[in-house]
Amino acid sequence: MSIHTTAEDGGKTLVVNVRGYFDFSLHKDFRQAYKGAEGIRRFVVDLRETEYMDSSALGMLLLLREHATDQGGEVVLRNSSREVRKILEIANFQRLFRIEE
Amino acid sequence: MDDGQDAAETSTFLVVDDEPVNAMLLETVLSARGFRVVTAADGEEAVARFQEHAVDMVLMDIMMPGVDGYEATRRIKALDRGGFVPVLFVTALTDEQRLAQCIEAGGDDFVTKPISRVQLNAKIDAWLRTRELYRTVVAQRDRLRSHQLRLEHEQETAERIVARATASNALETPGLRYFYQPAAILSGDILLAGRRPNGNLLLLVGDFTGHGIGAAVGVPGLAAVYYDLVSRGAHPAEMLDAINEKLFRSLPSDMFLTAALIEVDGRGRRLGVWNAGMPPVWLVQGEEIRHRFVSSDLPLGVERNTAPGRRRLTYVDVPDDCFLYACSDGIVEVAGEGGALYGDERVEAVLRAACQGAGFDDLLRQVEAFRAAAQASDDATLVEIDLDQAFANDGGGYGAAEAVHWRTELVLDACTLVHVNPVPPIMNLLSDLGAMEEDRQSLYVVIAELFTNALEHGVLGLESKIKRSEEGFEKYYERRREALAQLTEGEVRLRVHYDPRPDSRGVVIEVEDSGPGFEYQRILEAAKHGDVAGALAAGRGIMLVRSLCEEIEYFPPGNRVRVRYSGTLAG
Repeated sequence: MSIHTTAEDGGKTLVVNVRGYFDFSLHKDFRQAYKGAEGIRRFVVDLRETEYMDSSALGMLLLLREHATDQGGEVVLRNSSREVRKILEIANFQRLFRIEE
Repeated sequence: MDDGQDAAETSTFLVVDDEPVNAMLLETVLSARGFRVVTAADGEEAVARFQEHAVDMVLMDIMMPGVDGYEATRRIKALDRGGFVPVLFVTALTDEQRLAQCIEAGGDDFVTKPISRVQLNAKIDAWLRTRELYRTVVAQRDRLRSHQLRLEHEQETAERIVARATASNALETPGLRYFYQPAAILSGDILLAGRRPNGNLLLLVGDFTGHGIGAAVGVPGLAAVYYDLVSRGAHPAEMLDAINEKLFRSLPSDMFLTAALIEVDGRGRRLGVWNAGMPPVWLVQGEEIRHRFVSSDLPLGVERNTAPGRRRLTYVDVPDDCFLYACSDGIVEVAGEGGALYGDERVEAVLRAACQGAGFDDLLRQVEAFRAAAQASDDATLVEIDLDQAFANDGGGYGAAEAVHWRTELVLDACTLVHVNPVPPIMNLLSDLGAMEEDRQSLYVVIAELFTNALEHGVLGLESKIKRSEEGFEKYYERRREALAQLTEGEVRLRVHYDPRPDSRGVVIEVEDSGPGFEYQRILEAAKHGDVAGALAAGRGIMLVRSLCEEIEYFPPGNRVRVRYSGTLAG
């Protein structure tokens, strides 16, 4: 599976790991990863194993952000490689997401 | 193991005597205890009986017609290969010289005539016990020997696996010399050399904690990751992160890898080194240590990456006549008489004193002379690079601004578009043909966006507007799937032209689709201002492309776009 989730903070945070190509082909799995998580308000997308991402991935992140905002929560992007970071910055995502090293 | 009773029940005796009365007497005593008895009337017959029966002990008379007791014993002992059958001489002789002859012939003990039942039984029991003990020891020795053989065989197999996994032509680079000596069959030291697509030599000198099998099991996995990353043109800092992650996940927590990563950049006459837990890497020019790259980081596999890209190589410009030396602690920490360690200072003294290019041999000689005779050796690795030579043979790699120009066109018809996503293979092609290095993510975005637009809007005629909401996103990709499944007409042409200019990576990408074209002007305008997040969903991809490429040009009616990617944003 290119997407797998883990819990942090005793279940208060959901961490979504995306491996390899982060593109539209993952949209269902990605949505499912957070849709089922009742009552969780803090979401972390761990990009450690993300090799490539494109604009549909950015779209998916925006949808996750919408979901989190509806719950009064937030989305953190974590462990992006230098290059993925560059893409996020071009897209000005640092204004919408907390980007952690 | 048998106890006395069992041994008594199963043991077979060979009684040799030419006097039937004597033989019968012995047979009576032995039979009374339940032993099986075989008799022989002379030496000749004794040897024959011995060969016929599985005899456990022999009672031997000395004086017999024909072949006497001495000779029979010699022959029996010669026939007995490893089973140990005690031979007890039954004799009335007391003369020391005769008795010595019995021992010389291979006899183990004496029973004196006339036979005493008590004495005979005591000797028999003692020898049966000895024989049992002997057999146990032999059985254990054989088991140990077969374990040992299997272990050696397994180690040799493992050694071949390690050797194959780490083998690389790049180790044969002119100017590169190395010494690699495992302490056991298997070594925790590792030496990997590969060429990046741009021709730079990338060398990893490392040492897994421990040695022997435990240390060596990590080697093949590491080698596979390393060579994969090097050939894909991964940035060295990213490589180190990837290796760290891999080791952190796959090794037990008390195992890790100390390593030095060395990049030899021939075109730039530069040297880059990252050192974590290894002895210093020395850059030597004549009698001067020009640079000492000391350990500056945690070994690999100790903790998770906290800041990606943090593990950076330190680069220095290299003047003429320089040599590089790197080694594992098996060199620096050799113990001499009295326990003193060889140490960095001694290494440096040897390297400074050495004539041009003699440092390698001098150092190995000095270290060997220093080593205390009783001291077991550790895994040891030493590498020398004559940088002038290495620079002159930079592998003729791709990526040199003038080295490679190529172009290709991929035409995907409707049927192919249904089944194939051409972007990953194009990424591989670019990598294999040397067109990308650290900026591959950016190139990926450019190609993926342009292809996606051509396919989804040009060929499939999908509208991006609906993508803005979550349901719309789902619906959009549902429609994409349906439209693609029904596709019978249309095509996308992807042209890639690798056209590097000085100081520019220069990949020209052109994508043309069979669709009617679209209002590219409006999209381009929209993408010029406003950020991606706020942009129309359709404009998001184009905006990324705009930001990454120095030139972007649409051709009327908007079904053909050409961009030039220069990688100027790198760094």
